[in-house]
Amino acid sequence: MIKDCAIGFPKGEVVCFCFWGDECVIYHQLSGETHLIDGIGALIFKLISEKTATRTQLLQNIDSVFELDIDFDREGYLNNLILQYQKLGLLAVMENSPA
Amino acid sequence: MSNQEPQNQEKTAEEPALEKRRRFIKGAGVAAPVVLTLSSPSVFGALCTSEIMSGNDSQHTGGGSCAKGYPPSYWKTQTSFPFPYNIASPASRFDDSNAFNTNSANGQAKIHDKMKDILDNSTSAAFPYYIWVTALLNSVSVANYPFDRGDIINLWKTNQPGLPNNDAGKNALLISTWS
Repeated sequence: MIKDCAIGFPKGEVVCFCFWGDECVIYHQLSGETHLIDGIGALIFKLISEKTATRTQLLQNIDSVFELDIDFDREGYLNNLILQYQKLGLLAVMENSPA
Repeated sequence: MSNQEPQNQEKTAEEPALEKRRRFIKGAGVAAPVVLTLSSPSVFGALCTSEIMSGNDSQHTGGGSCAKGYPPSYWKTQTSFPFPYNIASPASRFDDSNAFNTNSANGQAKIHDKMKDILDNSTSAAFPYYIWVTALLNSVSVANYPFDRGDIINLWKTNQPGLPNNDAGKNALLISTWS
């Protein structure tokens, strides 16, 4: 089981973001890449732009904003998104949850 | 450079339609992390897999090629590991299902050691498992690393076309991916 963890923007790296409706554009300075993100991904960055969030908090927000199929693996979906965004350098995951 | 504030805060007539569309997500499917990515050329050269394999270690300017990972000494000093691995509570182990998933049932050594311990004991181990732990951690945390997590795990399990097919060659290949 993946334990809860804190998710936020990476320290020491430059990530610039902007939101238009339910879409998000993020620029990662080190890689020089600009990403257009929508859906649940945009919600993740909207939330962590306000403050560091735990995985549990992200799941709660996803449940409240989106209508999901009953067989939708929301935890697996979120875990994969977190992994992908971490790999792109757009967010950082800390083992300990924020106080 | 600082993070920018949202540009458009005003509600429009389209907001209710957007609200309704946003709330529905179809089925499971495959997570698409981004809709579109635009790359700008990097002035800092980095090595890609092909150059690493050929031993070309010279710096060059390129079109956004691979980046080198962190060495074992870096991971040894970290107080946390990148998602989905943990240093503690519970500590990630070499044979975890999301790691190398080694299995003693088929004669393969199980390697149940903690990743943290493998890194700490790198100088005393008979086999350099720390090289594989280092590559695995790099694969999930370094943007544009030459290998993704699946590549590292597949390389451990079987020989991959075009890549070294013995332990020494594989170890050397992975070592060449960090500074």
